[in-house]
Amino acid sequence: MNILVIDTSNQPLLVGLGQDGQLLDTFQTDKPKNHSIDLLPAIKSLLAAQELTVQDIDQIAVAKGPGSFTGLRIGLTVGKVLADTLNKPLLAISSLQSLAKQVQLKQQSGILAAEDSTVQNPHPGKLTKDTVVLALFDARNQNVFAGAYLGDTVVLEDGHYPLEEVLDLVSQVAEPVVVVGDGLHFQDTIEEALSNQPLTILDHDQSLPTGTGLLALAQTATPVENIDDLTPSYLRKTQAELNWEQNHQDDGQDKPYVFKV
Amino acid sequence: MTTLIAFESSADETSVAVVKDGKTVLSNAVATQINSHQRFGGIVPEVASRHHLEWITKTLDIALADAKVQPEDLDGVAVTYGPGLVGSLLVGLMGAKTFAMAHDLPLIPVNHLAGHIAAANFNQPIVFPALALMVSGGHTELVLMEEPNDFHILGETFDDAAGESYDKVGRLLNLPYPAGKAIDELAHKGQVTIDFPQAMAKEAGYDFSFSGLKSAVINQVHNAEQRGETIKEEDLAASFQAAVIKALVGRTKRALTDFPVKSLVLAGGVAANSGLRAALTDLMADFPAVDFIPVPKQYTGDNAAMIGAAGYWNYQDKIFSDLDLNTNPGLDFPLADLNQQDNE
Ligand SMILES: Nc1ncnc2c1ncn2[C@@H]1O[C@H](COP(=O)(O)OP(=O)(O)O)[C@@H](O)[C@H]1O
Ligand SMILES: [Mg+2]
Repeated sequence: MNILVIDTSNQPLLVGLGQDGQLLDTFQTDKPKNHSIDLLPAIKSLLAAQELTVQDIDQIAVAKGPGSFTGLRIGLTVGKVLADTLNKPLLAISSLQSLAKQVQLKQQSGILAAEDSTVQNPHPGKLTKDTVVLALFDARNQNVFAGAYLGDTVVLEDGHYPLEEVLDLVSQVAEPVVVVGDGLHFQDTIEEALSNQPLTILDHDQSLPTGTGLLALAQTATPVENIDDLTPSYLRKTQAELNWEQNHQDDGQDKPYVFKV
Repeated sequence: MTTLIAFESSADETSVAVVKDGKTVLSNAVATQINSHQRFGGIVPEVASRHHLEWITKTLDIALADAKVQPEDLDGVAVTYGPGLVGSLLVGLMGAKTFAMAHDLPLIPVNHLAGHIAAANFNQPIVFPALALMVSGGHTELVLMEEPNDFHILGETFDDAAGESYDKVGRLLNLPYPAGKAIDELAHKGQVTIDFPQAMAKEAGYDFSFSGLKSAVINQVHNAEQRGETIKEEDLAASFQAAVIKALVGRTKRALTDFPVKSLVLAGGVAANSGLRAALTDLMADFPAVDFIPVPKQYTGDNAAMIGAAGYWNYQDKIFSDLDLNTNPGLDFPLADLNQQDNE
C-alpha cells in the first residue's frame, strides 16, 4: 500500500511517500512561491528513488487547509486531478491537525522534551500525555487560523479566530500547552495569556511539516466521497464576498455562479 | 494524427478540450464564472481562483468523455502558462502538469494570446505570412506572423485594451460585466450622433490608445446630465463603437498596406463584435489578395480548444516543458523590429 502525502498549506513544502503506515522518503523545501515549480518534480523523484511509477500510488493524502489560499490550491489541484485521473482514493486532512499530530508523535517517542524549545518559558514544564497542542498560522491583524488538540480530542475546532479568543480558551484548559506553527510571531502575547501553565512555543524549524502527522491521520481518515466537489478549508470568505453579502441576498441557487457553457 | 488535451484557466473560464491536429475540436468543456463576478462588477482574482479549483476535474472529465478518448489516445498536454491572473493560471497549470505526469505525456507550454490567434484554424487554416488583430479584454495588438508560431507585435495599446474600454463604458451605462456584447447589441439599434475623437489618428505606426475615448464618452454623459439632457443610450453605444472600430480598422489597413501578408486573422473576445467583423470584411475589398480569417464566434472568448490549436504548433516545433513549468502572468509576444523590416 503506497500513499503519497502532500502539504503545501504554507511556505514549507512537504511531499512524502508512505508504505504500510511508514514514511519511506520525503522531499522538503522552505522557499517562498516555489510550490508550483517543485511539487511535481518532487513527486516524480520520490517515486523514481523507490523504483515506483505513478501507477503504483494507491492513495493520495493532501493537507486541505487552512493556510495560504494559493498554496492550498496548488496541493489540492494536484491531489484532485491525480486521484480523479488514476481513480484512486483521496484523503483530505486538516493542515493544523497534521502539525499537531506530528508534535504528539514526536512527544510519544520522547524526541520532544521541554528543553527542545528555543524559547525561554515562564514555566518550562515537562511535556506529558495531557499536553494540549495548539496549532496556529498567522492570519494577520492579530488573527489566526487555529486548532487545539488533546490526544485525538479536538479542544478547539479549526477556525479563523482573533488570537485573543484562542488564548482565552486554551488558558482555561489547565494542561501543559505546546504551540506549533507561527507561535513565535505572537510570543509575548501568548506567554502573557498562558502564564499560568507550562508552555512551549516551537519555532519555525520545529514547526515544519514532516509528513508523519499527515500520514498518521490518513491511516484512519475516510476517503473524499466526491473528488470534484472537494475545496480547501479556506475558513475565510474573500473580502469581496463579505462586502457583497452585507447588502445582498445570495441568489446563487437561481443563477449558478459558475456554469458549463 | 496528433491528439492533444488542453487546459485553460487564465481568467474566469475553466476549460479543458481535446483537439486533433490543431484544427478539429473533439471536445471543448468550458465553465464560465460570469455570474459570480457580475456581483462585483469585474473579476475578483481570489474568487476566480477558487472557482477554477471547483471545476478543474469536472471540465477534465467532460472533455475526455465528450471526445470519447482515453488518456492513452493522447499525444500531449497543452496548457496556458500566461498571460493572465497568477492564481487562476496556477490551477490549470498544476492540473495539466499532474495529468501529464500521471499519463507520461509531453507537456506543451502555450501563450494564451497565441491560442486566441490559432483558433482561426477552426475557421480555415491560416495562410502565411499573416497579420493578426488580437483584441480582447486585456490585449489589443497587431501581430505579424511570418510562419506558424512566429509572433511579432507591430503595434499595441498604450493604455486600455479595446475590450476593457467596452467594459468601462458598460459600467457607465449600468450594464452587467462584461459589457462588450450588450454594447454591440445597443449600437445596432442606434445612430452615430457623436463624433468622438480618435486618439493618435495622425501618428505613424500601428499603436492604439483607448483611454481618451473612454474619457470622452464619460464627459459626454456628464455634460449632458448637467444640461439636463438625456443622450439615447443606443446612440451613445453606436457612436462609441464606431470610434473603436475606426481606430482598429485604420491601423489594420495601414499594416496591411505596409506588409504584404496572405491572410488577416481577427481574434480575441472582441472579435465577436459584429460591427468589427463587418467593417473588416468591407476593408478586405481593398486587399483582394488577402484572406480574411476571423475566429469562429464560438471560439473568440477564452476556451481550451484554442490552446490545443496553438499547442499543436508547439508540438510540431518540439517546444515542450519539464514538470517544473511555472506561470508567467506577464507573458507577451516580442516586439517586431521595424527597422530591420524596412531594410528587407
Ligand atoms: N460582441 C462584443 N463586442 C465587443 N466586445 C466584446 C464582445 N464580446 C465580448 N467582448 C469583450 O471581450 C472581452 C473578453 O475577451 P477575452 O478574450 O475573454 O479577454 P481576456 O482573455 O483578455 O480577458 C471583454 O472585454 C468583453 O467585453
Ligand atoms: Mg482571452
